[in-house]
Amino acid sequence: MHSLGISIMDDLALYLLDLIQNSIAVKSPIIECSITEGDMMSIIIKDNGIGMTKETLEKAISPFYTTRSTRKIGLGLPYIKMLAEQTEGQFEIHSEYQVGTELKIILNYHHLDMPPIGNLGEMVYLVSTHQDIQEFIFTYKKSDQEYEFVLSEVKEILGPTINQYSMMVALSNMINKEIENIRGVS
Amino acid sequence: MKSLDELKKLRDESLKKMQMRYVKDGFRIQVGMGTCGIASGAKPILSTFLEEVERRGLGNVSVTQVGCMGECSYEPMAELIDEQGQSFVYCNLTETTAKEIIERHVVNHEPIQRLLLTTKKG
Repeated sequence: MHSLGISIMDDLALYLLDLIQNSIAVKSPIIECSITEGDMMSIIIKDNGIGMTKETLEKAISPFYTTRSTRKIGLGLPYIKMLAEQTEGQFEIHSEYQVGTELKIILNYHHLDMPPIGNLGEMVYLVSTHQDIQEFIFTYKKSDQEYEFVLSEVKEILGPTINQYSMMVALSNMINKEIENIRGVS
Repeated sequence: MKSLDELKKLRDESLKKMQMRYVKDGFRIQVGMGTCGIASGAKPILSTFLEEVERRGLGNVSVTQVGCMGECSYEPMAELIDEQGQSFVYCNLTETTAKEIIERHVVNHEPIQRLLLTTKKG
């Protein structure tokens, strides 16, 4: 929470957690999130949920539009668009009604206004244990290296133990370690 | 995924700790994880609930994530539904108050009036 009473996301992992909730909310059978690290960081969030019509899509990026009934504004997409712009990156959204939605976010992660990456492992864990999630695929790529997390595979092994707190810690750490290996961060 | 073996090891360790205790009529804690919730710190609240439930070995509590509850300025919020199905909405949570909710409301069955949304909204 900012001192002005305005809440913003502290790190990239939280932005992603928030955006993926949109895909979960429309009950997408498959949700994919991939991060590719190069000169820029390019992030794709793709689902095959209900998608949006052209008219809805035009309004989606406005903070004064939302389909939810609990409040009148929606800040998820405006936030990420703002982040892309402030790091001199790009933000694109493509959606087709009844087919799905794809977000493409390009961030200049060397930029001064880039937030920390945050805890991606925990983000993947929280998405994975959401009660409405069906399939979630997370990938992290850098040059020729790639880490892939496929929820159905993990669930098959872990079963109900996935909901344990100790598993949250262990699984998040494991995913973070894999990502660190690829990123070459010590 | 190369860490499948590691996962299996984790599962076996976790299974030892948990005796599959699924109680139908338990407590449900639903943490608001909309944009507003996440931005105001719902993630550590969710982990605190999960941690406390496991630490105390509470088998009758399930912790789930929900979207925006419509009172964004009172986030982080969590709705606790007790064994009788009665709903209590707790707001402006911190890690300390989340622990307090588990200790007082879940374990000792006494709702904490001062943290309820209805009290704070007046």
